[in-house]
Amino acid sequence: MVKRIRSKISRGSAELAILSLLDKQPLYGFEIAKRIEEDSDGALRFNLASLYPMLYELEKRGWIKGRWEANRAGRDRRYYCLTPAGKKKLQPLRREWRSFFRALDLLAGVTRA
Amino acid sequence: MVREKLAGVGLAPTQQQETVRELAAHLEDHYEEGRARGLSDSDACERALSEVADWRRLARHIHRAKQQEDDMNTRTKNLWFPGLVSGVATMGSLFILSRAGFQPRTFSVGSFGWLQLYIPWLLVLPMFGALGAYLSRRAEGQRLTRLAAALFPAIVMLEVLCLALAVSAIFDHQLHSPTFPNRIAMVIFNWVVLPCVPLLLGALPFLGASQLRKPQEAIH
Repeated sequence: MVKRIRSKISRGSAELAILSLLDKQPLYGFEIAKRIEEDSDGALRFNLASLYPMLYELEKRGWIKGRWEANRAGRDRRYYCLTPAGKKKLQPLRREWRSFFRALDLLAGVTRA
Repeated sequence: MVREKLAGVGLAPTQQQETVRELAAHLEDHYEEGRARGLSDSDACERALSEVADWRRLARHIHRAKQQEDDMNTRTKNLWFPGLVSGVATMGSLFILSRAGFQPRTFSVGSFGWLQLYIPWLLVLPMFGALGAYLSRRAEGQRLTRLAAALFPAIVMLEVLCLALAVSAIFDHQLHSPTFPNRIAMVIFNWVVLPCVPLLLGALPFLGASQLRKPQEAIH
């Protein structure tokens, strides 16, 4: 049970992280992994095995869309951008996580710790 | 290497190629980043490959992520949609031709009833067979799927006729009529077998092996 909750939390946080990043600009897989690691000070880390199934899942749901484009080095990379459905999903996701942390804070004093 | 590792992932060919290409590009970026940090060739390579501990598990996850809905999407794209287009065009043309005053030529065939030749309709059917097979091929339908999409109107007609004949047999009490089986055979011949021929003729050019797009860059 605890494992399932943990897995759901980790999955949900990964979705939020990816969607939030792509809300700012289109990025390709390697960039997404790098940016998540850098922007979270190394707290969140995606490798190829964890990132791509998640990207494909989000793409299947129609929240993001991939398109081949040349990167700065002139190499073709599959850039992902947020779709209107993804943008719509991002706000409720943010709200859910905000209330989740607020609840945790009330229960465990996370931010006061 | 990535292609080899993901060989059993079971995606549609172009989808598989695209996935392999994307993952190979990721490993390439990882490798180059390692080299830029001053790692040796083999260390950078090892570091890049450590991104995936279990390729079979990754293949399973990718399959699950891409395929669950895709099974239905693929079927919709390569069978139901082309079949529906071909079916609507076939029925639409029949409706338009009959409204325009074209009548079928009929020939008596004894106890079998009437052979009906709707020549203008039969002449336009190859176009719709071709359309169904073409749309299915474009959506990467296998040969059998392309054939089914092309013959979809005839298959639907067979089902409708079977239903209508069953109802007619029960409610009109025609089951005991000695000519009933012959007449059923003739109706099926007129509305299923005959249309199948031009539909199939139109589909023939699209039933050969399809050319898959080659990846634009080499995959390591």
